[in-house]
Amino acid sequence: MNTALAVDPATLDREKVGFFRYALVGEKVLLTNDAGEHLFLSPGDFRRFIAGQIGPEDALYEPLRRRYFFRHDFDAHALADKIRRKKAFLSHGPHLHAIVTSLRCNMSCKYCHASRTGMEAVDTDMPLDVARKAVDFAFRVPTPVLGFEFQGGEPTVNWSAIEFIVDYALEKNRYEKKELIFSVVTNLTFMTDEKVKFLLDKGVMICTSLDGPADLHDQNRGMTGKGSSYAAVDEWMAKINAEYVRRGRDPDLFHVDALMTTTRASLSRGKDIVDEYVRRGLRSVHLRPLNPFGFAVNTWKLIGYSMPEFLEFYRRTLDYIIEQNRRGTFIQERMASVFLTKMLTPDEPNYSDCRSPCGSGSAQLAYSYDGNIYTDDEGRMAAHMGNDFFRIGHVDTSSVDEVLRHPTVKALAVASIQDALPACHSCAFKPSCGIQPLHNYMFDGDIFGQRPLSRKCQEFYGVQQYLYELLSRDADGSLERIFRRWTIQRSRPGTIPYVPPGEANA
Amino acid sequence: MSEPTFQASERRVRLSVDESVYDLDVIMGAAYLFIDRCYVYLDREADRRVSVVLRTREATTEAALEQLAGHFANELLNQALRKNIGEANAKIREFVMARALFSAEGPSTIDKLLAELDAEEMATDDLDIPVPWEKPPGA
Amino acid sequence: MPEALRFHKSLYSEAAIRSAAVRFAQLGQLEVIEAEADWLVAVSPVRESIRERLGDELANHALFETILERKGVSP
Repeated sequence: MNTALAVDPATLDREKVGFFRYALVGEKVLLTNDAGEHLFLSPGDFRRFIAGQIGPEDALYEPLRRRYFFRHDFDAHALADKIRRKKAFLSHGPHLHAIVTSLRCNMSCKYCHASRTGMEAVDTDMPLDVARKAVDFAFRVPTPVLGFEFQGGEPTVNWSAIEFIVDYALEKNRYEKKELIFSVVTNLTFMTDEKVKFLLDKGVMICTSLDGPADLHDQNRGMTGKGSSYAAVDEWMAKINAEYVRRGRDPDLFHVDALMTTTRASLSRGKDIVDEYVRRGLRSVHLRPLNPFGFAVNTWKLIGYSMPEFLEFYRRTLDYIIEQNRRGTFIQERMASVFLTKMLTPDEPNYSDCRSPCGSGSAQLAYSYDGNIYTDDEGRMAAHMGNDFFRIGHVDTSSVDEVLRHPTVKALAVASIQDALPACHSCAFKPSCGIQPLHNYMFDGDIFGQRPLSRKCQEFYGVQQYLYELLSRDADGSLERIFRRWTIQRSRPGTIPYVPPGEANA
Repeated sequence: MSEPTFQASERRVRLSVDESVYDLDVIMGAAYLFIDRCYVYLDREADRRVSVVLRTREATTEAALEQLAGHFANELLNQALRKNIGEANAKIREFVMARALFSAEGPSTIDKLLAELDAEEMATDDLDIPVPWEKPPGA
Repeated sequence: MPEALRFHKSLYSEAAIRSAAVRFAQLGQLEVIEAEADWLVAVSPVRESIRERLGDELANHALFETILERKGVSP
């Protein structure tokens, strides 16, 4: 929070100045409003605006008027329409259904703290009758689009459950007529040609983890036995992508997607990570920080970092990504693209982890192997760590209504309405930000969280501040043009606008 | 406008704020934004006068404490301005939000218009950067 | 007699003080006492070395919960 700006409140022209939020960003004052509009003013112009001294003859009048910053000269109905479009997601029910087919995993990733068991724990495989009930439950949710995302553990160790769910859902959909999307988040180590054929035949998108070049990836994502997990990613990404091409699918739309997690070892490797993604033809890299909860102190010392350290890494790496784009290589940073969609377009990306109210239980649900239903995958992980607060039902006993109206879902919604939260309600980044109460709870034991101290708030604030800073210095508009490209999500045929799996998105 | 006065000592600066100038919501709003930098403690100094004690989390210099007090005074102004803006626009905002969130009307023509403008905007790209759905030049 | 933190009733809410005391209870004995104009929190920390920090953190938390309550948001 930059508190260097001071404007006398007594100078406010109450007749002319409309509702907006503001902050000093770099050397300019950023103005934003609920329609997602923004404008930069110099501190001097900002003072003139507050004092009602910018009249129709002024060059700044029209930019301010067009963005609904005046009180005496604006179209309230048009503003309402724009806000409605931004909040359209409120009328959608949970469309993302994460199904944990097994907790078993053959890897021991340094940052996987909550939700895996050894390969011998076959009792954590989802039985087929539970799988059937989970699908039945998901179909009862009144949403026209239904996304099934297979997670684990390593979900493919319980391959029969994946096969069953896909086939059963497709069969059921012959009369339900919903739009179905399937995706699997896998380490690819159990992949076979037969499995690839099934996944591609049935339209299941594949997402894997790729933390960077081989040494970094294997350092973060070790196997429980011998071998390199990078080797499996390397082999199967290439094979699957080639198979897409062989089938005549557009490789820019149909390919294995990847997610990366930032550890301490990643902080000095931003360029290497981006180069690895570019080399593989990936169009998006998501610089994701570690979730800081659930680690033993010694583990955190080894792989953890402070939020300022992460933000420094983020800024440096984002600069490099922008440089790649200026040289003609398209690659976007995923979190930036979420924020930029909110900042630069009339739409809301409906990214469950960054919206208000949050999407836990209202945009997504997670089904554990034993049939328990959680607000989201993080809620399921919390339960694995001994906290059942986010369990909101069971496929055997709960109705959809009971789950969607569960007190925990309501509490999470209340705790993520920015207009009601101190600091958020007046924050200039409010229109493009979002809240994760579950994250607050896990970190601080309180779903509300103290905003200035919340690690997620610091992360979102830091990223948005940097994006706005870059835009404020973009004199020729060339960066904004690149950023606008990052906001375009192209639909895959037969699906809703495509979002990489594993990101809890709409 | 009555400026807050302050006194600094080791790791601690105390500001005296006139509540008839900055109401309690404004003082608390500013105080809350400082809890990442400091420990904040409020006390009733006199009727309509609040004392704000900011205690830094780490050892610091007197100059840094003075600067901290200055930033807090700035934030009081900002919070007061934000409150004034909110109050001046409360009724209009209520109307706009009600219309946006509770109106039974379907998407208006403005959505269509915006979609057209989006399409127009995206059609022009001076940088000519290849994007996933475009073949590279010459391909 | 343990040291007591003082929170003026016109500035801090009772619920916030009590909630803060519960939150930090594992770090010491915290007793909330009502005085004429103040809420007093008597602090006997488990370890003497954290006395100051405990008081500081408790004050920040009491402020946070008071602000939430003033905004009508209930944790």
